[in-house]
Amino acid sequence: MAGVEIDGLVKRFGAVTALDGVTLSLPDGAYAVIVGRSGCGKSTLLRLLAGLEDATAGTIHIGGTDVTGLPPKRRDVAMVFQSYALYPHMTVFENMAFGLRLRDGRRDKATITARVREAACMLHLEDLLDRRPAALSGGQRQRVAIGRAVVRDPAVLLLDEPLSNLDAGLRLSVRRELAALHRRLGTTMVHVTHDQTEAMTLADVMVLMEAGRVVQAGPPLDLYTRPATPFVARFLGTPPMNLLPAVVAEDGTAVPLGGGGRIPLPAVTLAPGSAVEVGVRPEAMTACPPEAGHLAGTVQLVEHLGESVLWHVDVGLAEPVVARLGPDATIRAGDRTGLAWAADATHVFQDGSRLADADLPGRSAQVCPSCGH
Amino acid sequence: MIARIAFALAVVLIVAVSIGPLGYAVVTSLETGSALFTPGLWPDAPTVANYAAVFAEQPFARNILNSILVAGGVVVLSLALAVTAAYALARVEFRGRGLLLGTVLSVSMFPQVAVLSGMFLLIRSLGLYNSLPGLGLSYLMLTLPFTVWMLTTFVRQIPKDLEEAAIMDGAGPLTIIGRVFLPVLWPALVSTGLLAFIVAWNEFLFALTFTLTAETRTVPVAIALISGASAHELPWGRIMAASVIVTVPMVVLVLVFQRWIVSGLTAGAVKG
Amino acid sequence: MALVLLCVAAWPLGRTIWLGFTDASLAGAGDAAFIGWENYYAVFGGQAFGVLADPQWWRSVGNTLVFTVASVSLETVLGVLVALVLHQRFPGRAWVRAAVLVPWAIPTVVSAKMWAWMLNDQFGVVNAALEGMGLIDAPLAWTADPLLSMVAVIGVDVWKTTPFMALLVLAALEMLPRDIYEAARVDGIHPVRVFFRVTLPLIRPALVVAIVFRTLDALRVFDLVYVLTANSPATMTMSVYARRELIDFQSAGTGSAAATLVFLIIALAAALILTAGRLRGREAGP
Repeated sequence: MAGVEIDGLVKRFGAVTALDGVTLSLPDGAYAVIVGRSGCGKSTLLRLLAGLEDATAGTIHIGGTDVTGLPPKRRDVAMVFQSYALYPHMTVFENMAFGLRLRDGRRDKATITARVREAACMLHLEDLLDRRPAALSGGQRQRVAIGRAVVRDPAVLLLDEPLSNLDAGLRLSVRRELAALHRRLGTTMVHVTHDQTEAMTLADVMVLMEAGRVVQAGPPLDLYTRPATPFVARFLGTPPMNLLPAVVAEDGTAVPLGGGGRIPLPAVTLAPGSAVEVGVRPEAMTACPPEAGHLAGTVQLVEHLGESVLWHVDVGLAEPVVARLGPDATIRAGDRTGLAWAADATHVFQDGSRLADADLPGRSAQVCPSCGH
Repeated sequence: MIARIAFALAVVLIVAVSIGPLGYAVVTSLETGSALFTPGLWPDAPTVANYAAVFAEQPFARNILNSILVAGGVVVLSLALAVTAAYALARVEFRGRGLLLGTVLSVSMFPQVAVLSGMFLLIRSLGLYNSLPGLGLSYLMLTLPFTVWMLTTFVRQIPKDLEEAAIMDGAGPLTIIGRVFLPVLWPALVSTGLLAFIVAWNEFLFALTFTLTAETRTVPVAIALISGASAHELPWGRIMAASVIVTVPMVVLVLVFQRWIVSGLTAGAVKG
Repeated sequence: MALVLLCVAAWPLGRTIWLGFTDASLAGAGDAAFIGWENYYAVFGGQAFGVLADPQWWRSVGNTLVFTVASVSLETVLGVLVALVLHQRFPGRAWVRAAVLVPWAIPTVVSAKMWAWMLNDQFGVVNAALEGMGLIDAPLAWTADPLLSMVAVIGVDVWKTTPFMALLVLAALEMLPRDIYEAARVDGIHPVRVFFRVTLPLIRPALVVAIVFRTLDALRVFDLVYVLTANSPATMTMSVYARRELIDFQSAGTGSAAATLVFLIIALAAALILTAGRLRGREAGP
């Protein structure tokens, strides 16, 4: 078991810079999820941790040891591949024992067998040990790939998009199993995914990457409630946060560019006339009469999701504003409505970074503050 | 209904044309004397005299052994060379890789006769004229290009993750090749090797040119050179017996490994 | 691997080309002298010598072309037909597929001998059958008559190599998605039309590759012709000609010159086909 310290890590492939100075500290036993769009460098970071690629610059420490120049087998890390990469000619047992046999050739057979059985038991693979990968279902293969990695009891367990080849139902159950596995082993785990739900649900530490850099790292809820940049704000949450360019007015509110409305700002001091970007999560909004709303407009589209309803409201800007309301909110497309929210639910960004760290915004204001609905 | 009958006829025709000649060769090989010269579909008095004669009148057993040795040696040598080459061509990035692969493929289009005199000098200067190693060496020109090509295609189909998984498991290059790569590549090696074997087994021009004595001949040459008392009296019964002897193992081999051969051919040709 | 190929392919080829410019004989090639183009073409006392002045060479080039065009086109048509039949589902299909492979598995020399026997003018089963059916009055000299021997050589080659063609086409057919045919059936298109408008364009890439392979292969044909009709001028191909000069006449110089020409012609053919394919591909491109 060991923490991971990454300092100023750079990786270039010819003229392409995949990692552009990544600095990151993961405490011992953390479940870190690295999340980002494809091509953001998250897989490269994982491969550098594994030792499958060499760093152009920067250092990696695992458990206090500098492993930057070490080959994979001397790093005490194990990896679960996206494609599982099971050895097709070996049984499940042999797949899991392969690494043990290579590493500790002297170790007696009984110990190896015992460890494979233990891992197999943990992952419910006892009955499949004699099968070949071709005879397994996708979920079973995934568990074997995990088993092959954990059986060696590595200091750090790396997982590259481990759930992306599974169907939706299976993804849910393997996700739960991963969480349980982490609780049980306590190993430091680094999990790469493009799926924000996976990241939100599994991570102790969530690392959001963009263009080869870490944009924000921390507990998932921190990233959700206090996104450091507009990118983070839009990346997390479905539907994503509404972001509007605006100008600060004399009365301390903000006026969206190119549209009407007054957006309440949290307790921040901004000179009138400053250009800002304001963000509101759809679920922070409530409906009210048009004249009472911070924003008002015509409902273009109503989407019923069962537990909630999405309103797409044209407030005169390029993009409609999306609000998530309770299931009993009734409205028809074409109707006019106002939208309101608590001032501390407004996220304010200036020059691409978060300005106000007001109190936790959220659903505290379920009642329209102006009209009392 | 008419379409069905026509279809059935087509199938029957295809089968008859395909295996008829071989069947007739078998029939002929079982006949001797005058029975041979009355065309008929069934031997009246089947005899194995021709088969005995093939082995009695020339070192045919030796010829068969030669063919097996040369073809087997060529298979082992070309697979060993081709696996390493295919690994490099499929996995290692280097400049001119496409060009090299193209050149290799173009060698398989070389007309044999174009290298005949040069190869003759090469073999003679190595002191291998009229010997099996010399013949085997010349066959590498025929087998290497397509074995390299086919194996490169197969190696490319092996996911890179598999190697990396082995690296993560702590395997060194030798362990990866021996315990991961070769076992995964096994079916490809069988089909490629089989095709190389067939090429070497069937080859005629080099075998005819680079051997001199009956003891070093391979089977195709031996069969082509079976002759009777005079040029106009070919011992057809014996020729057919010899033909059946060398063909039956080939046919059995091809039929048993049918699926693999087809996958090998298409990997080499279609996907190229 | 590259080194071995250099030794067994490039070096011999280079030696052959060099020998083509010398007066060497294989018996004592050590003391060969450079004689320039004389093996190809030279005039002594008003008479032309050299490969290019030998009518038999030009005849063998013609023979090779006739053989290549005829056998490759027949093989292609038959191969596609056989593949279409084998692509259908019917009882015993696996056995029929296996049977089709038989001619391909038989060594060329053996198939040449087998056919030589069946086509034997006096005792051959082919003549007997044709006479029995009343198609001919007198036995035909299949392997001796100039015209018939060419027909025989082509016929045997088609018999032997059609399976290869059929296999490749069949593999291509099996990769085609089934829903295309279901769509065509729903649209009520006639099967023959479906073949020409849907199947053929889709298997064309595989077919072209197979034809290229077979063409380049047919241009260098040797063993079939040599065993079936020996050095008969009526069927002599370029490879047979070069080998006769080289071995039977012990003339390494002219033989090598002829061999070099064979190489050049095949290289030229390959280049032409590739260029044509590339131009076609560009036309067909988006």
